[in-house]
Amino acid sequence: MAHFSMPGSSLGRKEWGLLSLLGVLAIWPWFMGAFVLHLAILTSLNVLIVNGLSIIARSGQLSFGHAAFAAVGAYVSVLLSVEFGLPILLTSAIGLLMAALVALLLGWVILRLKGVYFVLVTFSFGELMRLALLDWGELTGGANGIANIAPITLFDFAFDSRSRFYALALLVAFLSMLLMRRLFASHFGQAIDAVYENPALAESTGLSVHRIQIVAFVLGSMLAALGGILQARYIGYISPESFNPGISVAFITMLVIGGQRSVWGPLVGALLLTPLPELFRGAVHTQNIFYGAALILILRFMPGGLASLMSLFKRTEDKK
Amino acid sequence: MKQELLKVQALSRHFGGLAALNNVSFSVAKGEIIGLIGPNGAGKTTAFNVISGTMPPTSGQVIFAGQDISGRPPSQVVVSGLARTFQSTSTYPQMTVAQNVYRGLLSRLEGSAVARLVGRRERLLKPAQVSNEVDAILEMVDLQSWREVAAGSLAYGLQKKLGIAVALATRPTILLLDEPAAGLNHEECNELSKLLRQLQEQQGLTLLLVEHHMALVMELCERIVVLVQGEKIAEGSPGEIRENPAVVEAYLGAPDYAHA
Amino acid sequence: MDWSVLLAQATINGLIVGLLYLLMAVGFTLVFGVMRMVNFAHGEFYMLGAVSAYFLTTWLQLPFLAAVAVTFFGSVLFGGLLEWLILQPFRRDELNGMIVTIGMAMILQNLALILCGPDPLSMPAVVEGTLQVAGIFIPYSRIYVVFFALLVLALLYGYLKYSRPGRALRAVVEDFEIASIQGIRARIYYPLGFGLGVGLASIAGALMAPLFSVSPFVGATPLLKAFIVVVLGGLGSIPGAAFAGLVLGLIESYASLFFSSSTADMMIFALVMVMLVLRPKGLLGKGEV
Repeated sequence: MAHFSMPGSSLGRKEWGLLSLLGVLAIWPWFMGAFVLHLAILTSLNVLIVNGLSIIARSGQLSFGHAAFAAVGAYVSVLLSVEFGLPILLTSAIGLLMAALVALLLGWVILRLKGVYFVLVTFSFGELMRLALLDWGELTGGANGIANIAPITLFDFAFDSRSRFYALALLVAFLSMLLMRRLFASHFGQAIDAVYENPALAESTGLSVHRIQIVAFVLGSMLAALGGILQARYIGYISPESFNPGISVAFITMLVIGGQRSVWGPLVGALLLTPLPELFRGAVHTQNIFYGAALILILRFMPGGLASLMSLFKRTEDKK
Repeated sequence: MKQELLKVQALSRHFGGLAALNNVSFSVAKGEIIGLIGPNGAGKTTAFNVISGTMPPTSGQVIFAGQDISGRPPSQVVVSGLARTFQSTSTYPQMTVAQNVYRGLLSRLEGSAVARLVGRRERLLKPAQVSNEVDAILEMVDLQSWREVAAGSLAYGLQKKLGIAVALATRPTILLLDEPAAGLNHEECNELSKLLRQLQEQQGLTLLLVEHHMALVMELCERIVVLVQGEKIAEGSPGEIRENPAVVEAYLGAPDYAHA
Repeated sequence: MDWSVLLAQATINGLIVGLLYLLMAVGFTLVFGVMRMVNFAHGEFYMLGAVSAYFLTTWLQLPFLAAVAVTFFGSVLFGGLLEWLILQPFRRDELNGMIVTIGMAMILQNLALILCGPDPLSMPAVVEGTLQVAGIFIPYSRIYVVFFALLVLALLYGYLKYSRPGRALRAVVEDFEIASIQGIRARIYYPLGFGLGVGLASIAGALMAPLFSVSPFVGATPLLKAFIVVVLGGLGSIPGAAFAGLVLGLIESYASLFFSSSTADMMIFALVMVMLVLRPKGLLGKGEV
């Protein structure tokens, strides 16, 4: 009986090498001081959120409202702890659940739309969310947002320093990458890929395109919500502008440049694009021009994103 | 009297003002091979799409194994046991032949989320049996030697066979084939005919073919339904159809008819 | 509170803003109709139009109308060039093409930021004074702008209806497949459609420059409005976009009498979402979904 191999499930030598390199990279910020830690935390949160976006993209839909789900997670969990003093685990769970519910209801209705229309609807949803957060000021603090958000405290251990929070963010980012790997090596992940590669064929073999896309949308949005929950407790402040459509576009940029259909894509995209704004401090406009150009060039010459370079390495290694 | 498996009843499908299908009725008995023919624009592909759930009927019913499946999406129709192939070769080109078939049987995996999403309770497959099942399906269509080849690099005729294999992976009771002979040469066509006959005899499959290739239809099908401009004009055995004046007139001058 | 005066004032304001939206939306629909692509850079062409009008009048001392005309033709050429250079590989790949326009928008906006800085610049008024009719106030500068916007629209209408390239463009927008069957050549009509579409955005920006301020950030809102109008009016219908533009201007103006502006905006976006789901073709659109 031949063992049945799932596409893409084995880790090559190159990938182990990369992982060890990443391990070193991950530890490095702890020795580099507050600024580098700050960048590392933001990068980790972006890895988490863009992984969520990647799940949705791999099922065949590009969501331009991803930041809105980060907002749902952030605002729901923060408001619950501010108004009712509920513990962090509970407020986070409820925040995730709310995001899942919104994604389920919204996705059920809009996922039938094709490409461009789905983009417009999710973009509108993102804008709608921003306006709602602005408008319902008594609840959300309106344009002023909510400040002085308490850091996460678990079992009397407070994640109130960058050093400590980075540990949490790094763990969550790592778990999200593990999740992506397990998901896309699993039967369900195969179904997601099938739905993208040939929806008519997938549908005709019992894979419900609509329902699978909904599950992907819910999962992806929950990851965004978790990112929002963590971000709120790190920065200590949230406002409607923290989650505006421009932020959604930034996530899309990270995903596209990193690689839409690779497990490494979100990591590459987040690593490359998060620290850059801070490094380009004086020349933020030049940096944005660089982003815009990178986006265009990648789509033109390397549509699989930077992560697709890795498969080049693998192929040359196999040939040896 | 053979058991009726599929029944199409007063089926109509309109596109705006155009009636692509108008009040079409016929039935398919268990174990039969039925052909659906007609000149271009007759509505055969529309009938196909409506029966398989790709589009809902405007009116009428599709009854399969006693259940009304009209308007149900294809992924749910497959659960009941009705599968289809596509006219243009439909595979996952970057996946191997084995992986293609694997994706075909995905929705049958016992305990999987995918199966639960379409509410499948029958003909489930235990995950440990996946590899064996893939081999069994490949054997049915004689594609074992191409097991690890990327689907996109297969010859056209083999790709079409793979399409059939993927549909078979859902273990249907009836298989709808959309112009399976299109683009095949004479030898490949004979192979196809043999394969379909085998599927009927050895797997107990019922087959419904939409086809232009007259020779194949006449040779293989036990009964033939003729559509012209969305309406059924004749139904009967190959001999009856060949002599039916209305059918002859509809095909007069059509080059396909010369094959029969 | 004299409601009739308030309503009349709101109507006039609504129509003026509606004209602006109309210009943006028709240009946006033109691009979508020809290229089936959502142009995320559309707002930045509005901004370019405003910036160009500013520099042409204040630095080169061109009369306003000349500046507008130069801006228009410059934008059409620039847009056509961009389409030919950058968007060409994506002519059949609308989703990625759309992301490319995001990249273009980033580049355009930040180039403007480098050139002009972030602070708003104000253009000298083209015309001073206010007309007062039956208790309603209309600044002459707005009348001026309305007049020329209507002129542009009349010219556009004439071009689309009577000239050969114009008619071909309309055919492509309204029914892509039939147009390509009739052999309308993509090589010319893609750059032309894009150029003309963004040219209209630029003219809107140029005309509005004396009325509102000029800065690299002015493009964001017109882009959103273009989205809204085009969804409501139909993503493939020029008359639909025109009609919906005016309607949106009026709705916003009336709604501001009763609701806070963000509530009105929310309602409109909710409406956009509903329209996209229930009737993606819009109120009048015939484009395929």
